Amino acid sequence: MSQQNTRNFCIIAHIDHGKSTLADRLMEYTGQVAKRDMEAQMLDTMDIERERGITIKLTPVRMHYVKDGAEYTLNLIDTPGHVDFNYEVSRSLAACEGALLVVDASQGVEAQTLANCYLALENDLEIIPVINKIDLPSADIEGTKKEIEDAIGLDASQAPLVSAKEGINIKEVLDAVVDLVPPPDGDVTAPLKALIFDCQYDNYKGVIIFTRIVDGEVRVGTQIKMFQTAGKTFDVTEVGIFAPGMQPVDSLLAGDVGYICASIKTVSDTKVGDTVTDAKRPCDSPLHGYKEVKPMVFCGIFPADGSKYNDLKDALEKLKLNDASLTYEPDTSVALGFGFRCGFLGLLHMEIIQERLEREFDLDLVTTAPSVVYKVFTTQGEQLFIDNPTKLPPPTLIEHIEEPIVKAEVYSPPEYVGDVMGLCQDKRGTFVDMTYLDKHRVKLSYDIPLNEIIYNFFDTLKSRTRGYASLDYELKGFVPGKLVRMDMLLNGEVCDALSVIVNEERAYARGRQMAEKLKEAIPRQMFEIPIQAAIGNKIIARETVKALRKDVLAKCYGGDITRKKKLLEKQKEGKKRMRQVGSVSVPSEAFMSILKIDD
Amino acid sequence: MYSDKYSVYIHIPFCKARCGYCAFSSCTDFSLADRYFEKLFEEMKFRSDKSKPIYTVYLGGGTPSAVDARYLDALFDKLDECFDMSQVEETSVECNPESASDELLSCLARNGVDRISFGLQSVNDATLRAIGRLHVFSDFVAALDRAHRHNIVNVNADLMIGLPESRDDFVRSVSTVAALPVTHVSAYALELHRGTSLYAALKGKQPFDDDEQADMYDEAAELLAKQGFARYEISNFAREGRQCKHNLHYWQEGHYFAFGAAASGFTDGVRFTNPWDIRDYIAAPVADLREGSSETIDSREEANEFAMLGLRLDCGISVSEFYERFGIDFWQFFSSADSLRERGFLLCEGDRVRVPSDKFYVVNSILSELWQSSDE
Repeated sequence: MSQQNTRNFCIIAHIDHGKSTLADRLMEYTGQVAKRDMEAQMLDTMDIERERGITIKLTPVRMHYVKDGAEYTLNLIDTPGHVDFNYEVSRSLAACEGALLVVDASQGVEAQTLANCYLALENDLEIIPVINKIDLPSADIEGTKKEIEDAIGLDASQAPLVSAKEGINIKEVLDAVVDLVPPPDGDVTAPLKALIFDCQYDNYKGVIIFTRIVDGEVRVGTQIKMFQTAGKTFDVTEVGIFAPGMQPVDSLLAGDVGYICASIKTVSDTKVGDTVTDAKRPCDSPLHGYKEVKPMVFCGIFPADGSKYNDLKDALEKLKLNDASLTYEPDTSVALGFGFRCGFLGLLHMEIIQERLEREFDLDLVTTAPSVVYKVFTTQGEQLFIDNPTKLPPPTLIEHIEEPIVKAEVYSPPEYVGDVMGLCQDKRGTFVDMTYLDKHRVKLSYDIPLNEIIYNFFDTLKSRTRGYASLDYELKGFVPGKLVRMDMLLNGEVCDALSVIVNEERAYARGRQMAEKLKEAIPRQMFEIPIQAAIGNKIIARETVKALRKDVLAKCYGGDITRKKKLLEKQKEGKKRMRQVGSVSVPSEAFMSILKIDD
Repeated sequence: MYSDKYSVYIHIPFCKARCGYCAFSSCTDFSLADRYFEKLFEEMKFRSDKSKPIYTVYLGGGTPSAVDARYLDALFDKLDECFDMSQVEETSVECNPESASDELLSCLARNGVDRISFGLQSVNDATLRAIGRLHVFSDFVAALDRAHRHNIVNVNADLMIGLPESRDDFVRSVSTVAALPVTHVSAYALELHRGTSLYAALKGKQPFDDDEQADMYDEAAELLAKQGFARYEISNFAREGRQCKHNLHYWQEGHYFAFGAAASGFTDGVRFTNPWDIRDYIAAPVADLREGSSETIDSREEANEFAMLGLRLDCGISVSEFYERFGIDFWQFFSSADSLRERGFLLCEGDRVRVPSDKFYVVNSILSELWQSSDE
């Protein structure tokens, strides 16, 4: 297949605009997947993706399509839509020449439509707007076209009008890909230059590199090396394409998207964004790769069963290979034992990683409240980066603390502007700008401490605007803040896993909420348990879990002995699963309950 | 010693109507009575044992008072035939107020029954109707009077805490009953079991929460104490010398035979339960009745049970008896007992260890801590 007949493209969209469904239809139409094998969201192979109906990982697939007598190879890379996964999006964009921009005809252009579209433009991709969900009664095709033209500046007059769900006009989309997406322009005869856009670990094959070949050729036997781990070379044992499962081929040529196996056993030898080249005939310079991502949100992850520490460590190592944006380092807690301090791109990313750890590696986890990174200036003139409340130096040694602040953009229908502004103010936001994009959309810009964003902002925004508003944010910098560490005391003892860094003015409300949540989550025990929130020695909130008065007043007759025994055995087992904080038994859920506080 | 004594429990599963809260094995089809008693007698015969003098007898249900007196006559004859009844110290029968007729009471009296337990539940007629009881309060007073006339003066009244009535209604029940010539009061918290009509009527929600039930219990205990009823077990109150010997026997880890559908027993170190459903009970070969339900209690388990049951009693357990039965010191067997004592959850008085009355509510937590330490 000549390069001229290859098209590499991706699909970008706001979350829930029908990207994965369209991908399914394209595969079905090109006969890549027999209809009987067709499952909804074919490319979303993780259970968690199917359940939540979202795409988290980019997934490549190769399709064959015949147009005007010529046969074409179409490489599609499905991408995630949520802001937290922009990193994944930008990786897939770098492997493509074109992008389908899917817009929901009933929703119009949304925050992520724009954000992803800008990413695609930065990568010089040809963008083809596709208007989806035209079968919905609420579809506004003309309005959507106009919005695409006004908000993005793309010509939408020729945009395919489709219903991915109903399978309407799928051929037009494929035709547009062939006609409009430029073929890859790499040089097959040049030295090998290939981009690693993803990796996976296989127990038999070692690391599997997902790659886009930019120049040259790779085949079984080629000796390869990576730029960032220079010195090590590997012999290629298998190359292949995604059809959509992995399918070995003889070679991958410039312009191809596929995978390489080379018996790479050490996970750290490959890095997403690195360049692969031929060890004997290397290319001059690496591809520019990706921006190193900085985690924005941190939390402690501990195995619910302390003996599973090594399993958790293995799991994180393997996930890291598959998700380069995850960072972690060992951590210990008096209450929770040995675990890891992990860094994430955002809250959804954090949730997804937790879920993947639990499902794919069958682990039970306890996580601590998310935190951001603070810049702490000590009286000794040092500057520390602190992402863990327990590591915060004592107040006497702190000169001042700076907290990260983000530039947040909220897109909302005009009728909710008041609610959005109220929320941003509640969250210590500073108003920057407000623009009417059109009759139906307003963009509000605020500077908001990231600390407030990770603490429930998104859920509250969605509930106050009945789901209509969307949020995009990027790190702006650090500003000084009145920040303090708040500890939670259970029966007079500090529980380190519950400490948080908060704005001093917020501490009272937050302390009260946390104490209330803990009161609900900690079961009544043999004695009364005071729950206190404290800043230093000062108690700022208090709740009490009253002593238990339960379950013994029921009848105990002869035949009941076996049943009573079972009940007690259960109670005993339940207690074993709880964490001991001093004399108090704390269920794992209690640590999680403080993460879900509604405003 | 208690472990040498044997009691007998017999289950009579028939009821005129099923109560709204009842999840016991019961049956309203009296046409099965002939076959049921035939099977019951066969089972007693099969297990007959004249080597162990019987200490107490208890007929529970269901409603033993609802069946024809001739069945009960035959039942007591059967007991005499199969067991050594020469040393029986107490014979109790559960009765419902509406079915305790003169005929029934004279039958009980002539068979040596000396204790009746009435399922009164409440003195409030509206409550009784709501939970599907067939009697009204005045039926109970009349039945009590009749029992006395048949010289059965040892009488218990069952009350329930947390029925769908006001708290005042409950308190009135307690004070009314305490003023009547009864010798024993049981006060149990209502249990809502899935599948009962009361569960459905209340949508699975207890009319009173744990704290309210506990407050009501406290108030009842106080009222009863004033009227001369001393608590001897968490839910049981008796006038001087009128504690139920049969139930004390359970709580002191005693052995007992058990006959009839759903009956549970503890003989020769084995706990067992007969088939729950009356038809299954009738159909099963008599040698197979305990199949699948038998559980051999080893000495460690028995020691755990001994603590579980004994700590429900106001008098607690005897440390020397514990040593005699299990050959190990109580404080050594339950290594956490000492810490519980230090924290005030166990009280040590001479030979006896008990739970202080203000810690009764957490008996289960105390037990789970004790059991955990006996595991180690």
